[in-house]
Amino acid sequence: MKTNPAKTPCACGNQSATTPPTQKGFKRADELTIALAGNANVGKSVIFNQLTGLNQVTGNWPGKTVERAEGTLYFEGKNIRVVDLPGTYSLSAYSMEEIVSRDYLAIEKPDIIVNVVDASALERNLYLTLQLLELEVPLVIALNQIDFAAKKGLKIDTEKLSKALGVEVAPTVAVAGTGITELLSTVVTEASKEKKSRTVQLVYGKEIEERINAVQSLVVSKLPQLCATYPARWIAIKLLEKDSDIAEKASAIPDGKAVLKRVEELISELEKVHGENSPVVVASERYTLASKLAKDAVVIEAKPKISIEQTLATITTHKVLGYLILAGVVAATFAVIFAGGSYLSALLDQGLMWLSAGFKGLLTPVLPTVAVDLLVNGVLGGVAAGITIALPYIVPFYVILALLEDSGYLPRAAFLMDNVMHKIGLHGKAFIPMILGYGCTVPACIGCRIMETQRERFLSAFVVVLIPCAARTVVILGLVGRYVGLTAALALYAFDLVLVFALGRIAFKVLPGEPVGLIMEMPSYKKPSLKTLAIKTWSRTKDFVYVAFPIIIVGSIIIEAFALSGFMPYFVDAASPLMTWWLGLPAIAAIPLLFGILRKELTLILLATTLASIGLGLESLSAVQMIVFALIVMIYIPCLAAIAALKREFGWKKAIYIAVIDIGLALLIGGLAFRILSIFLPA
Amino acid sequence: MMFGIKRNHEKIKPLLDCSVKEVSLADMQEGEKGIITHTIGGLGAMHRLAEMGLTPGCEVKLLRKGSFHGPVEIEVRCACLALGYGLALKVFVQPVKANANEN
Repeated sequence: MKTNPAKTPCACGNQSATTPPTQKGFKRADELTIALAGNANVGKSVIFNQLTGLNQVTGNWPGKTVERAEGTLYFEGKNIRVVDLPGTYSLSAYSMEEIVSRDYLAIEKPDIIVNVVDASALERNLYLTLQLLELEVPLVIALNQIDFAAKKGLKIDTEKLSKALGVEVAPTVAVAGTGITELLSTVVTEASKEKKSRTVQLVYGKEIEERINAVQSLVVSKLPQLCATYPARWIAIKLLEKDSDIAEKASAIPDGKAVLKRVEELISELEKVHGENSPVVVASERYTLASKLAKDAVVIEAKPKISIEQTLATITTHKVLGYLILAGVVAATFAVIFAGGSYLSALLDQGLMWLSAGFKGLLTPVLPTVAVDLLVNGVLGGVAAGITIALPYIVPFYVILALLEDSGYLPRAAFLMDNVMHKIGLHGKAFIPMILGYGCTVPACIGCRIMETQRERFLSAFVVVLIPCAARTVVILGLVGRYVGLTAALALYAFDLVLVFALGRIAFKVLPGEPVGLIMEMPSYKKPSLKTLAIKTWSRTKDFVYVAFPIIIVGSIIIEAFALSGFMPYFVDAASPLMTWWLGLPAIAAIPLLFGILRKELTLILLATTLASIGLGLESLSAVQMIVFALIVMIYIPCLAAIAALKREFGWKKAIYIAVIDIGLALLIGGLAFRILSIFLPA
Repeated sequence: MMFGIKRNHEKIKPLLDCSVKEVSLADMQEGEKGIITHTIGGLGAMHRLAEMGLTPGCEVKLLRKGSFHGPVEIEVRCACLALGYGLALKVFVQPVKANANEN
């Protein structure tokens, strides 16, 4: 464990420039750090956007903000740094996000924590609030979605809640920007106050309080090292909760083993009294308190009527209608993307071709041919590759995705697909990245973060890279669909699904670990706002550009240099036995497959041009050859941008692992397909 | 008799009606309400369920069931949760008679 960085016992909010440097350098009186904490899907990211104006992905998609986002703002003479913590329901050691969040709060000690609370589900949200109070951090509550609570017939007495918790409560409607300024003033006032001991002490049941106190005094005397970072009472509660992270930290301290032994005795006493495991006992205690606090603060004004949103929720998860709607939504999405995308893509390709020809004309008199080729085909070609896939396919896809997310449809799709996904050891939530995969593999790999454990994430990513993205669809439809027939193209998709499930199942059996069941909040349907839709699409597109473009451009230059160095014929020769004997393709097809690593739809264009160079057209290929080629493109290796995304999520080792498996698989299936199909489809 | 713990529902006993048999969430009917008596399974799953609000003594309403052993959607503590079938089998409830709770 890392030691506490330069923490002074000084407890005042205002620190002068002479205080020791923290991780962010010198801290000044006019600087303030606030952290946003809250459950998933309570409007935390919306508040973050309202505060900082910085683009951050927000959505009606539980558990999505996994990274810590940061932004700054200036308010009442103060520079305020805002840190958006991942949305979590708890601060247990259950997931990485929760450990990261609590360690951030305990170690880096932001000046104020704004706990964003959903007013329409107060009881559930107060569970986290209570844990934040256990952690003894300076807290302000943003009581969000009070409008939505009102719709449900709930009115909340903020005064009462504030008094009961001993924390300031600021009501907000983040989507409309209501109450944000008031929230900020509350935060600034609270931060400038001298820190005093809390006036309100929240206590749990008698049996558990006795044991907390017993452990707490042990912790104070035996584990002072841990107490330097975390509050003693919190450590005591965590130990009683069998928190693996804190127990591990405690056992690293010489006296820790003895403490843990005593804790174990106390735990077994507690379990005897309550008849439940101690983590369940502690959770129950918190919920009992949260329930009481919520009941006292909530005034039920009217019985909620069955709203149109509820009807919609019923229809979209219906046993029959639900699946029909899902199929309709998926079909409509693809129709829009591919109809619009292929049109736009062709248009852009023409424009860029004209542009590169222009550049070539301009540069040729000035620079040597090799440099011109590197610049035009490498750099400009790379940029063009990025643009022609990003603009026509990715942007419309992101718009539709944002629409599905913000409306609250995605969790319904996950609900419907849960039992299907269980067949490959995943649960319903994995359907979301899979759907993303049909658009683009890059966001799909990043989207695998919604899965709870590292094992689930990797398993999802492994499956997701096999889903034909928009670029691969261009090849499948443009080659097989056009020359062999639509049925053959659709058969390829069906085959891909079978492959995904077969491989998913194998990976699920091979990878060690237990599958995790689905627990997912089902948010109410909401009307998406045009503004968040625009912000989201823009920031995601930007994200895609950052991840994908550099690697596409560098890769383009390398491959162009490779081509210029005159190694191409040798490469074709070397690949020839594999291409002709095993796959039954023309040897020259190795070139488009090599370039396809950059961008898969390039394989089709290059296949046409390389064939043209030996005086042939695409139609000269046999049906079997076309199908084998499309099959290989569909499976063989995630494009460079996708590899970059995999590397970012799982590290180089696993990224290369996936790439190697996919190449081997593509060659295996390609060769088998050539042999089998040749029997049925003689040339 | 999970993990050597003897279950005594001291705290929730007053809430329960001894004449009604407890069933798992997956066996409840759509629209039916019930009170959680206990959960079973590994420590991780039980803790996770408890942290999402599914603690003994808490009232839940089954909103809908997915087809072919699909997940269930429940209302618990003013929020809607989807629970995979496997997890739903791990949560035991005592159904509450509809007329006793409807007003």
